[in-house]
Amino acid sequence: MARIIQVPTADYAIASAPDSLSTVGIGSCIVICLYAPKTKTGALLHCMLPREEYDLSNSLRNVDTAVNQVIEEFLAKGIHLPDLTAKIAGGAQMFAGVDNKETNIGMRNIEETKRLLTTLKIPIMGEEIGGSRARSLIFELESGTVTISSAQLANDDTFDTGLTKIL
Amino acid sequence: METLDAFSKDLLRETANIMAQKTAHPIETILRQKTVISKPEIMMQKMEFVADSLGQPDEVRDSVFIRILGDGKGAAVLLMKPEDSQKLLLDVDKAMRTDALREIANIVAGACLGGIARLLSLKLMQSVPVATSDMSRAIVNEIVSEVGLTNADLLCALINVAIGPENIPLSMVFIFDTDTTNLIISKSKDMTNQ
Repeated sequence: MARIIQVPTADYAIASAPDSLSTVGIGSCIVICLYAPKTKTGALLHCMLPREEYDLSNSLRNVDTAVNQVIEEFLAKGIHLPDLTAKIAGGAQMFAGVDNKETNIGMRNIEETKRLLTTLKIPIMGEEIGGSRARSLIFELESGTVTISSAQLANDDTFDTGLTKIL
Repeated sequence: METLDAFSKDLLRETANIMAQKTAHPIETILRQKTVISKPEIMMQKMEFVADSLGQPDEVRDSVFIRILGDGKGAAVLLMKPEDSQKLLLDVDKAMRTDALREIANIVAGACLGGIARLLSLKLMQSVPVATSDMSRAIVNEIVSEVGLTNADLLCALINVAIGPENIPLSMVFIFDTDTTNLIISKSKDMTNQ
């Protein structure tokens, strides 16, 4: 039976079809979906910060160390870098008026993710990044499809979680 | 932070109590409604666990974020369910409700920070408040990412307020980084001569 595995902040999960991976409430965090189409195996990483520079207590908090850890796990499963593709989402700036690049974590997360994936020669097949809205996503490992939704303000002042994009 | 002794934790609880006491008066003055303040909750957590301890990750919250600057580094955050903030600000023109919420957060944060700054002889300043409405986890994670950038251990003081006859809930959360937490403990110990 297919499961939907929820991935919390600063964590990751690896699974294979027919399972799906999901995470909710992505703001400035960056979510990286790595997919090996031949084996229909994928990983979802939900990272908060770009680089491991200061607090080393959780390597999954940072893009660089989390990706390296997941790549190691893929290699142990016999999945190599050329087998992988990536889709990324997040890196928003939730609060308008906080324009200092130094404190714009979302932008720095996007830059570090793209830099790292380029270095590893993992092609980015789709992205839904930046902006100022939070996102949630589900990564279907049967097809490799990533479906992204965000909370939209409706006319009656209530919020709907509507479909935003399919990658 | 995990190794804080019982006395240090008591000092932090007392600091949060002082902040909670300072919360009621400005809200009652602005809104002209009675408020009930709950006993504040103190949490010491790694940054990645803060958001989920404050509510369901995908629930939408109206929020106001104020940076704490000066001798300490941290954030003051107002969180409300959108339906509650609409109920609270029913008499305020719709276009002005976000401004009103920003002002409430600004005044409450000022009163709370002023209270502990005077008590502990600290210089604490606050930034211009910024507001957004979105998923709770996304809002809080952005704030803790900034506060916890250099050290992921954070002190969170959660003050829950019930306003008016309908007990409309409002939460104020104060988040401090490790250095500020240690400074508060040290200044409190100086005060008590311990």
